[in-house]
Amino acid sequence: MPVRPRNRAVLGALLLTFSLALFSTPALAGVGGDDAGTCVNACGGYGGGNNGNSCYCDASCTTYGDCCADYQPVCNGNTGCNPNSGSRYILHLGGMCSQGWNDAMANASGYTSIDVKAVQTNHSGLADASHTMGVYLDQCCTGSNLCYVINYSGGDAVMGHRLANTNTNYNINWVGTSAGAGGGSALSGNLLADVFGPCDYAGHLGRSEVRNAYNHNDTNGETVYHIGGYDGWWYSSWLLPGEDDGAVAYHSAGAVNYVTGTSSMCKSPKWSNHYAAWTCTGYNEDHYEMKDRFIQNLGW
Amino acid sequence: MAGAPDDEEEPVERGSSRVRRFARGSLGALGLFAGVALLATFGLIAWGLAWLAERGSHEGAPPPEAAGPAQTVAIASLADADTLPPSVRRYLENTVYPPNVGRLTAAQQDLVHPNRRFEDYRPIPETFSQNADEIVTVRLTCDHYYYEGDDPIEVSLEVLRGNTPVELLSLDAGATREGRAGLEGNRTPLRFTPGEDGWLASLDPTRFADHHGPILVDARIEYAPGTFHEETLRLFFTPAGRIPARFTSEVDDALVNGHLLVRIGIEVDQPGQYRIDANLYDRNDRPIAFGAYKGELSRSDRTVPIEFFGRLLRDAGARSPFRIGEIRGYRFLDGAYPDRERMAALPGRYVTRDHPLDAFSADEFMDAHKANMIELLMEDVARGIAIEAPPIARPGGDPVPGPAGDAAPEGTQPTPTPSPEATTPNAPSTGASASPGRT
Repeated sequence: MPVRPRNRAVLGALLLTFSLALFSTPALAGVGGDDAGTCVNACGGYGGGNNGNSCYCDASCTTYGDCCADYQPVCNGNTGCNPNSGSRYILHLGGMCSQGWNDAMANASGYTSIDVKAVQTNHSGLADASHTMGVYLDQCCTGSNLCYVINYSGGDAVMGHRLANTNTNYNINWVGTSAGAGGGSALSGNLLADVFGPCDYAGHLGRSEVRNAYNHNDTNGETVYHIGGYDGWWYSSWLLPGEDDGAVAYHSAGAVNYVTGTSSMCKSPKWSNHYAAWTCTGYNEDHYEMKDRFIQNLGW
Repeated sequence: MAGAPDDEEEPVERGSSRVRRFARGSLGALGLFAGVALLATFGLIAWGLAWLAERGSHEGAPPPEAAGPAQTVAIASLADADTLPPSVRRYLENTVYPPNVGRLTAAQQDLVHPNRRFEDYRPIPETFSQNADEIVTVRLTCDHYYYEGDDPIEVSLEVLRGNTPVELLSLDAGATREGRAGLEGNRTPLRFTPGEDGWLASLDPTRFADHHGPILVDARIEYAPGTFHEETLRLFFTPAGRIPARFTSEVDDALVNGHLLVRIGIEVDQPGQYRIDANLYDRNDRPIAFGAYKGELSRSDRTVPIEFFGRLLRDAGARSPFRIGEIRGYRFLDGAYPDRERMAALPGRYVTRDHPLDAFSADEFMDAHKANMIELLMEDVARGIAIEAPPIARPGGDPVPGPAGDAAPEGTQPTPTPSPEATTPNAPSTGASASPGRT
């Protein structure tokens, strides 16, 4: 017996409208669509996760073109990085319901941009993507390599989870975060999780779940810079406290260590090693528009 | 890939030849200022390399019993901050203390009171109205996020129209196991009874003794005749049979190389990668520092070491004897789901020996990794590809160039805190903060 009937009719067209607006960006990077599987713990067979059969993690998947997005890094250890080679990388970590960055990447002189194929679609999205991110960091950001990490939305939580649980000292100078979901969102989680599909991980970004998922104050010594947007959508002011970009409020985008309504990205206290960058006001942009903002601000 | 590959970059050599290249080529290009900066930093690097040669690399996590204090030096780097390239200066400013340790203030409620929940009253969309008194809000929550063993799980439900409690016409609630693929097994009915501020229910954890991971509580309420709403709540449960280790209640401390080393007694049933956290308070119970151990534990390990960095204790003006509290931890299951097995937290606070403040080291943190990072950043400077950090935003003014700026956001700097009262933030949200129409 289903506990949470997907009763879209009850909430009606109203919520469906903003459901589509918020999470309808297709996860273009892999087979299986928005709810695609992952190769974490699934190499050699079907993909794993709650919709794992949508893609494959066996050797022939490259022939058939039906590999899960994270097949290469997870099953073959192929991240595109050359370990301990004196290389310079900018890692791009996308957001909830994605399987990659799916957007323009940085173009910084002397640096190679890497699209992190971390699958954030399943119920296990945070644990899966964090593990995959660890594969990238181990290869790209150790030895004589040097890294910067740009993450977006749910990528904030993925990176935080990885840094808080690793005891490897990575060669990361700093981490840039746009519209970070590390503080969780009231739009995700219980009430609207079903409506907010299409990916099940969207239901696991509730504030209690994300804020307890890892120690946000332990960045393993890395410095994390945050920017946020305030061009929220019409419904978000009803459901999110303070300024928001339609998906996350400033308490999350601004790395505030408790849930509060605020109009300042500089609101404190913040988690240790986290800072608001450039402006306390934020940007007159919505959640989608914020994705490239960090890269654009740096002139990349 | 959009990034410019560096295939045409000349390979970076290590050791003395690279230093010669700096001297021949880079100084002229960077000009006098950069030259001074580089020379100053070369001294630091040379010192770091010499230090490394002397101490050897200590990459990887040492076994707990062998874990010594963080390596430190009488570093002069930040004293020469004005002469350093910005990318290096910012890095040094951000790494005065070692990873896994930091300044703790009363404002950091997530650390002082870990395992809290953050549910607010949430409006039912069908009741959206310009008149706030017509909007129905719901809060379904419980007392923690993580539960272990036989911890009772107390669930509460509140339904308000405006600020007035709503008399529910019907209420159907239950709890269901949740696994990697979603909901699993049968739904366990949950009986709510009227309480002082709403409805209360107690969930017997022994009914979930076979389950490790999330539990989803659902409540379907009829808040008007024929009008229903469903709310859900997720918590995380580690059954007694999956608790991987136990704290023994024995805590010891010692001053080692200018740092406070706290050893927490533990009995390990399941070896693996652990994360253990603790807070340190001064003799007046003022929050001072948080610290953590991250590394492998085996069944033979009897203690977990957490080092509280000497410079941090000095900066905070911490007076002993210290209190060690909020001791908690879990075994991290990398790539698995669920990704952890929780230990039961150790209640109470443990009092340390007396340690005079001046016994703690004033040195900044330095280790092999940090020395390597400085070297890598200097290589980027020499190659003309250094990336500066974004400016830190400050309230009511222009961004400051770095954490050392005198107007950096409060609560983010590792500076001494005068008193808990002075740093307590706005009280965490406890009421109906999801006011409709607010932007």
